[in-house]
This record gives sequence, structure tokens and C-alpha cells, in this order.
Amino acid sequence: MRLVFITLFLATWMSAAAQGKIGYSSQNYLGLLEGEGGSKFQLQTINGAIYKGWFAGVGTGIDWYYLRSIPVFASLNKDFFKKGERSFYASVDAGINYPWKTDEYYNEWGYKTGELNPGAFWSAGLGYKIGIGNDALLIHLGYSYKHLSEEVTTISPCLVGPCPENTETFNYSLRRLSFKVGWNFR
Amino acid sequence: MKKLALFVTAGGILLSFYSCLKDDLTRTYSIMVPVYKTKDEVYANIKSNPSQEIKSPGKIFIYGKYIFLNEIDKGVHVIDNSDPAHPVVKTFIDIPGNVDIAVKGNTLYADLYTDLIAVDISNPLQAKFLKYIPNVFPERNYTNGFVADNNRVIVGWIKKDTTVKLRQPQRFVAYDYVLASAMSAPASAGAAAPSIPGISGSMARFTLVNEYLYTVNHSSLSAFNISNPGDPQKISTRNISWNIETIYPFKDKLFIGSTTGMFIYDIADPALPTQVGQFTHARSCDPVIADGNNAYVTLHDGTPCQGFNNQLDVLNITSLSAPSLIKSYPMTHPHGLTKDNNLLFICDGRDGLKIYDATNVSNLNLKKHVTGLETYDAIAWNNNLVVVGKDGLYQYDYSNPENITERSKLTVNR
Repeated sequence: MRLVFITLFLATWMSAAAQGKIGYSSQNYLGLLEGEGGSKFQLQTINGAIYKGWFAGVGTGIDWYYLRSIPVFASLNKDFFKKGERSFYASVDAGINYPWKTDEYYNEWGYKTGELNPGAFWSAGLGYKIGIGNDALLIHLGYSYKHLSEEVTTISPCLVGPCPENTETFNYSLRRLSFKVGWNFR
Repeated sequence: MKKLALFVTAGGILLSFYSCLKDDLTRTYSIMVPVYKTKDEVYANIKSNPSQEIKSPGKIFIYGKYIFLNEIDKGVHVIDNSDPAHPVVKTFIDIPGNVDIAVKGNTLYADLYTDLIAVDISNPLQAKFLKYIPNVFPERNYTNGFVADNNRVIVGWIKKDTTVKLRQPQRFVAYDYVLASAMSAPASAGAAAPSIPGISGSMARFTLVNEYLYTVNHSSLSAFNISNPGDPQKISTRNISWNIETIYPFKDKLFIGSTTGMFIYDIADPALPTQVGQFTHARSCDPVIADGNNAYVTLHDGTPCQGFNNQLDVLNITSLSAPSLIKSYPMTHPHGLTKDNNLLFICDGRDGLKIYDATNVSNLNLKKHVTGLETYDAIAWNNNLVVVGKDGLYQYDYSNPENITERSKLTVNR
């Protein structure tokens, strides 16, 4: 069944593309994330298809806010108030946020090990698009959420092991304003 | 212009939510609340009780067909090992605060927090409490921040999970020191009784030689006369160094591991051990074993040992007064070790079990590396290797060094 859907989707895509209705689009952003944890950079690339003012694609990037992570997400945009080469657009992204590092080793008092786990990622916002030749400049302001969790195991001091262990769980739900500027290759 | 104003307005609305952009950071940890019993209740319960699941295995002691396995801070599992391929956990002796064990004849010696106790195991399935000697291990006066009571004993802990909000992103807050079990170590000990072998692991802090039980605590070595096994008598205590970790007997010598070195004590006069040699190494944790001409010391980092070495040191001890280093072998995080003939078995922590041909100690030959288990201590005897791992008690057949095979595993149920 899944194969049938994929085949139908590809057939529709190719048909529409052949008629010049669907085009490839690549949005590439550099921006800032602002929240309680301060200001941090973000990089994103979102690649997909445009069709009658809609854009659907998949994206990834690097998110330096608090704990560096790699969001992987689906993205949906809709242009509106289009005038000439300029338009506004609304965007929604949703996916999973993967920690840059999944484990760490701390040699402190005794020693600790940390294991980071992936969590949800989503964002929404409004953008302004200024067409320049075949491409476009993108300015985007939005809200971004990411979640990560971490299990930290502390092995308490003892002269002869196995020493007692204690595990703590940290949950990080991080809410940020997102401001980013990008270039849209079309 | 109108649309730009709309965009700016929308941005302004978003910015107005700035004060709501709170990061939600939580930390979930466990608080352990002690459960007390009176000493009389505790002594009455030091007997063979129904078997329990192995949850936190500690030190081991092999005595005849039995394996005595410490359950850290809880007591001792008595395992019938008549068939190493099918060991059976027969009974559990409740000894709160227990981490070290040794067996001589019909008597099990164990620590109960600060006290040393003797238990009659003439029938291991019908164990009976005999005697306690108070304050042999004074450094164990506190557990998890709770000071032991003169009349009461901590017999367990109630775990309460607690979630707190963190004010700001902060990955590691100060550790509360409320731990799931005691700040102490497992142990075993031993010596050979003439007929039934009693063998300790290298992590032991008790050991038995003929009519004497020797114990080490943080800084001293004590000798107990056990000619009357059920009535151990403390004969002597002497300060030897700081951060003493393990004790291992070989012939008429005791090899004592500390975080800063290995000490050799002569027990020609068993009541008064006398230091005859010392080997100093970098600060590290270091169980030690010995054979005729060599001592084997594993050094590992972490815990309070504060060292950065993870290695096996092979020492020449033909001159007991001046042990010398033959060679160091890099390891991952070694703990206990054991040797039978020319086979040397190293518990290398997270890196599993390493088995070496030690025919030439200057060039140890790795015969087998068993991975996928975290190992702490081992005893090799009669072609059967018993290994305490984080997830179980393993046994291996090493009768054919070219084909060492796993015989059984008693799984830990944490």
C-alpha cells in the first residue's frame, strides 16, 4: 500500500513538474535564537517543492541554543499578499531534535556519565520574501521549541567497587524567539 | 507599506510574548529515606531466609560447593554451585550494611556496618547468628549521610522520586548525596582450609590465614584469632597507611593494596603482622594478587582514588623488601583479578573480561577478550572462573585455554 502511495505521489509530482507547475526550492537560513538561555546561532537548510504558492520540504540544521543539536523536520510554507516579486509567507516546521553528542563522561567527584536523548522540535512564524532574479531573500521571525532529555548517572565514591550509582533525569524544554535571514534558491 | 506594517505588527505581537519564553528545565532525582530496625531485630534475622533476586552483586567467596555472593548492604546469597552450569540460589542471609565476607570451617565472617559478625553455617541452609564485635570498621559509621544509631540499624531505604524546577539552564547541579546504597564497597576474603577450599576475590577486605582473620579498614590492619571459629578475638590492630583498599594472602605474607601503593606484611607471627616491603605507584585504586615471584596490581581511575592511571602493573617480588616494576600494561578501567597457573584473568570494568597467558610476565599474551559485560571481580579455581558482573554472576570453563566457554549466568534483576 505504501509503495502505491509513493508511486502515485511521484507520478503526480512528475506530471505536474512536466507541466511546469512544481519547482524545486531550497531555503537556507542563518539566524539567532533568543531565550532565557541567551542568544545563540542557528543554521538551517530546507529543501522541497513549490506549487501554487505552497512550499513543502524537509529540513535540517544546527541549533546552538543551550545544548547543540540537530533538528530534522518537515516544513510547510504558504505565500500570501504576493505583489510582484515580494510576498509574505507563513511557515510551520515539526520534527525531531537530535543532540549533537549522545553521551559524555565527566570525571568529577567520583565520576558521572550523561546520556542525551532526542526530543520534539517545532517552530512557526512569518516571513517576508524579496525576489532577486530567480532567487529570493528571506527574512523570518518566529517561535521555536525544542526538547531534550538527559540521564546523568553518578557513581559515588567508594574504595573498592562496584560503587553505588544514582541516576538523575534532566528534561530541557526550550522556548525561543527565532530570527533568521536566508536565501531561497529556486 | 500597509503589508509591511502588518508584518511589523505581527512581529511586535510575537515579541510581546517574549516574557513567556520561559525555558522549562526540570531535574528528577531520588531521595532515600532510611528504614530502621533495632539491633535485636537485626540479629534475630541473621539466618537463612528465603532466596532473593540478585540486584546489586558485590564480593564473592567460594567455599567448597558453595558460592557466597554479597548483595551490597543487604546480606549474602548462598548459591549451590555443585553444577557450575546450573548454579542455584538456595538462601539469603540478611546482614544489613554487609559488603565483605569470608568463610572458615563452619563460620561465615561478615561486616555489619561498623561491626564484625560471625554466623554458623555448618548447614548453610540453616545459618545462625553467633556473635558480633563492635566498631571494627569505624569508617562505616555513616551511610548516605545518616549516622548509625547505637541501638538501631539501617535495614533498607524507601526511594522517593522528586522533580524540581531549575531556575536556569544548568546541566549538573550539586549532587544531593542521597544515594541508593551505601558509600562502601563489596568485599570478600579468604584463605585455604585444608580440605574444603575457601577462596576470596582480589577486592577483599577480609582474609583468612590458618587460625587468623585479617581485616583492613581505611587505615589499619586488624588480626583476629579464630581458633574458636564462633568466638573471634581481636588480637591486634595497627595503623598502616591511608586509603587502604584490599588484602590478599599468599603463603606467609599479606599483600595490601592502597591508593598509593602496595604493602607486604609478614605473618610469621600471625598475631602481629610486620611490614617487610612496599611498592609505591601513582595515586590510583589498586587491587593486588601475588604468586611465587610476582605481584599483579591493577590501577584504575575514578572514585576517590583520584588517579588517572588505568593499567596492570606486574612486579618482581623475589626480594620482598624491594619489589620492582617489571612492566605496565595499559587497560581500560581494571578492577579485580585472579590467576590460576599461567592464566591471568583481569576484570577490566566496562571493557569486559581479559584472559592472558602469563607464562612470560614481560610479555603477557591476550588469549581471549570477553566483551559485552561490565566486570568487577573474579575467582579462578579448578578450571572454573566465577566473575561478578554488573548484570550477573558469570561462570566460565577454562579447562582448555584455547577454548574458554561460558558455563552459566545468574542474572541480576535491578
